[in-house]
Amino acid sequence: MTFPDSNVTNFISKRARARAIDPAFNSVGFGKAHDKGVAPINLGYGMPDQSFFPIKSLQVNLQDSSFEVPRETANRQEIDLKTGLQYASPYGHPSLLKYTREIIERIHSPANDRWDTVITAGGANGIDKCFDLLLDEGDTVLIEEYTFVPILGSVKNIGATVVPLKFDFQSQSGLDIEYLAYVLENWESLYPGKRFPKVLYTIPNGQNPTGFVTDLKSKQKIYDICVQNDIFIIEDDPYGYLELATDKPFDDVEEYLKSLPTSYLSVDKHSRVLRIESFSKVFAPGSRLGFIVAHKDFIEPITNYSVLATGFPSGPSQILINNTITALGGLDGWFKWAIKVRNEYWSRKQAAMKQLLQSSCAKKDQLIVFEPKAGMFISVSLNFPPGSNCLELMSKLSEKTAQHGVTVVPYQTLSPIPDFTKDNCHYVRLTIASAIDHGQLKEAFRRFTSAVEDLFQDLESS
Amino acid sequence: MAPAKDLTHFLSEESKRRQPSPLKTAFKYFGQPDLIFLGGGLPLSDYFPFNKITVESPAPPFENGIGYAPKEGEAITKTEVLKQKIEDFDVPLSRSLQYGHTGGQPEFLKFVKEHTELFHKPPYDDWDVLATVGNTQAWDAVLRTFCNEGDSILVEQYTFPSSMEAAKSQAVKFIPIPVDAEGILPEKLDEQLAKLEKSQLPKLLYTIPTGHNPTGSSLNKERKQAIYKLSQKYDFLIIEDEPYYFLQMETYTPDASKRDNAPKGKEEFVNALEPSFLSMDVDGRVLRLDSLSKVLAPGTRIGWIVGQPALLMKFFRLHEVSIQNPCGFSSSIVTGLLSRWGNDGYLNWLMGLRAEYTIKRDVAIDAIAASFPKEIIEYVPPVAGMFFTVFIDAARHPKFSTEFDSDPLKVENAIFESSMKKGALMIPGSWFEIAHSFPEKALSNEVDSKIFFRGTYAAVPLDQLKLGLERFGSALKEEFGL
Repeated sequence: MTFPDSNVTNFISKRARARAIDPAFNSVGFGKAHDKGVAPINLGYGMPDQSFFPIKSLQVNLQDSSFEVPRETANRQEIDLKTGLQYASPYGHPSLLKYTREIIERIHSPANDRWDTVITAGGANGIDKCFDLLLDEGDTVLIEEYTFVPILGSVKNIGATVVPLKFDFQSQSGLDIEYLAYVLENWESLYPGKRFPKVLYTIPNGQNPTGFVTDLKSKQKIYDICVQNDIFIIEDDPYGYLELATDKPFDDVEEYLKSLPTSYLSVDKHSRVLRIESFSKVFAPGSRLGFIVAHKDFIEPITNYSVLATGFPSGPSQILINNTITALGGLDGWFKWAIKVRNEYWSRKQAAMKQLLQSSCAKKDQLIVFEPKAGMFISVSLNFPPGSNCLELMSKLSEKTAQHGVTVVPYQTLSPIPDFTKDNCHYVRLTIASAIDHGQLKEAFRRFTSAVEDLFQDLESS
Repeated sequence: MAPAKDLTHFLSEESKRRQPSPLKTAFKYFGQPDLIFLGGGLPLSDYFPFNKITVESPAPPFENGIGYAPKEGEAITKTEVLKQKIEDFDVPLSRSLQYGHTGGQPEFLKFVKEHTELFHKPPYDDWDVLATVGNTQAWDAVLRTFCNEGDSILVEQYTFPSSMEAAKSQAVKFIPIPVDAEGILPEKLDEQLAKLEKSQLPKLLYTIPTGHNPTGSSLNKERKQAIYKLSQKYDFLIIEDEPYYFLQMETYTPDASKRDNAPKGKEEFVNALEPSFLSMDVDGRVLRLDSLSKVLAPGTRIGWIVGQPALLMKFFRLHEVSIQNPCGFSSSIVTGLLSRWGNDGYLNWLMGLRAEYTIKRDVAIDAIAASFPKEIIEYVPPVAGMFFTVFIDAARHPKFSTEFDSDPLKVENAIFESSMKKGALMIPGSWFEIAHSFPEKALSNEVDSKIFFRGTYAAVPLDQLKLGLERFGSALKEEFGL
């Protein structure tokens, strides 16, 4: 196999390439000491006097502990109020960046050493930035046949389009690799006139909606195919931390970290992967904080977009996430918290699975359950009689579920190209996250299976 | 009052393509009683690790000034935000830290709407507000919502470079407008617009009306009214970027003994503010970008847009796929604090801010008067904002026509270097010139040997401010051999 040019900058979109930040204006930087003589008094940059910030003290109560955010500190693991509430670097605060690099090193051992991280305003913002970095108008993105469809907005904004790939629902192993190879080999005849794909967007772990985890061997195969075809992989991985495949609650950090699904990053010898992480699922979505792992040469073009589009990530958010990690005792404390969250999702998954599998519709083979390997969704495939109209029956199912007092997401609403999936859309996504407790969770799943039974009864009697 | 005019003909191709996400439309069922939600992917709020956030702040009316940190036992405003609401006006952590509320948290929007009504009273019915993560993001969203490649926009001759970079990256063309010490000259603008073909007319005007960055100028009511009339005549939108609106100050009185620093009444304070473009916007063609960065703290990354709903909806669609919403911690803390102060207490804070900035400006201008070489400089004491401008006649530099080839930019650079060596940083004016970032659009100005430096009195304490300006003044004297 010949390796392609390792110069990743060829992948940068024309838009991102053309974007330049006035070097003069940014050269002096944020309080960097000047190399000539005394540190200059800042009469230049319009940073407000920090003594006028009305937040004089900030105290945070966590579940078992609390901490105070210092007004000013020399401790490099903490962000103080003076720094955190001021204008700040678009890359993110150094201490938080350090944590993100450590997270990546410990969990993913990237296959190359040309990567770095940059803080974003959350997962959706990370996705938008990755698309902006790589895509021009008219470009093509490969995408899973069912996925987190709001990201299509970012692709459309750019004027790019998506082409769907298939899942291997039989083996529940993630992307159908043969189909991927088939699409690329027969591109001209399948999609005449369409630009050959530049990017594969995938949620490899605890995929939304399927809950599938693409295993390491398959990741390696998909990676190789992409490298051969000069396709960049954007791996969006908000769910990996919610590992569900191990059949027990965790206690030990090392054991937990070892269980986490691998990433494309860990096979990325040729710098063909952008990884998007978020603090939403383990900490809280409203923190609007995440990070991108990218080749070093991508950090600046990504940041140039930040400077124009979002400024810098929220100060209170960076203070709270960073200082919470520090207060929990560093990354190990943070992983312990992740374990706690993971264990709760795992026990919910267990309860929901039991409810589903014990239902009479499961026993009658009216449905097949996809046991998720990570994430917060369980999916169910409905065994409609051969030859039935899938879309019609799914809309009947929605009526039934509403009547039984439960809402679910039919897969068709998660289809980027609804025409592509309309004859094969007999799936629903159920979340284990929203119910307030185990009692309500069980009740919700019971209502769902009654709705399914109800539907099949109608089918039989008609 | 009438509703806003239909101005959807200004929308860009990109914003026309933006449609609601099919997944998110399912959220309308959320919160319906006795319906269990197995639909969305909202994580468990019980498992957000944050139980409580407590913030202490000075309490209105801020008798010791807004910079004063209250000591033990003195009055404070204590903002406590928990997972569940304590006060009706709070944004509980279980909501702010969850997904949702792309347009901003309702309690935040309520406060901001009251605030807008208090200060601007927009003269049409259906005006609304939408949360942003600050004016940088809001301006980028404006460009994406209205401008196609090749569209023209009006900008002040000197303006904030980052704003222009954002526009440049959208391949937008600039029409620079001449300004004087009080900002845009409406007659010149009219002359310029009259010369354009219909197809060349701009989609919008981008302006920093108050405490302009970098010039420090402020547009008065008469000029604003004239400009608004032009926006109706030639049909363009007005984007008023107003981070410095509440940094309006008393006029500068050179004689310190005659300065009137007595506290003013609330009504007097409100009436003394320059009316905004929004306050005269009968059509709904103004989008006002407001920010808390200069008023509370930049790191909060929270701001808002005021405008008509049909246009704001397009921002909403963009936010859904980009920023989603302002950070939850900020939403809870800022809303909790502002609501505890109330709009009345917030008014006290803004009055305090005016007093502090007036003092800072006075110290800066006093220091310039005392330590800069009068022979070669000109300046207008600003009445708003964080910035002042010192104009320098480069031709008076002894090496101007020899070593510097009569090039004012070389003099500018020499001053920058020597002032940095002395330990004072002011920003060279050329960094702000439209023509500097966009050489192809260079203004055909007559050769002018005037250069300027932008300074700010905002960033450092008074003693440092004075010292910094003394250093800069001595660098100037040395350079010019005075």
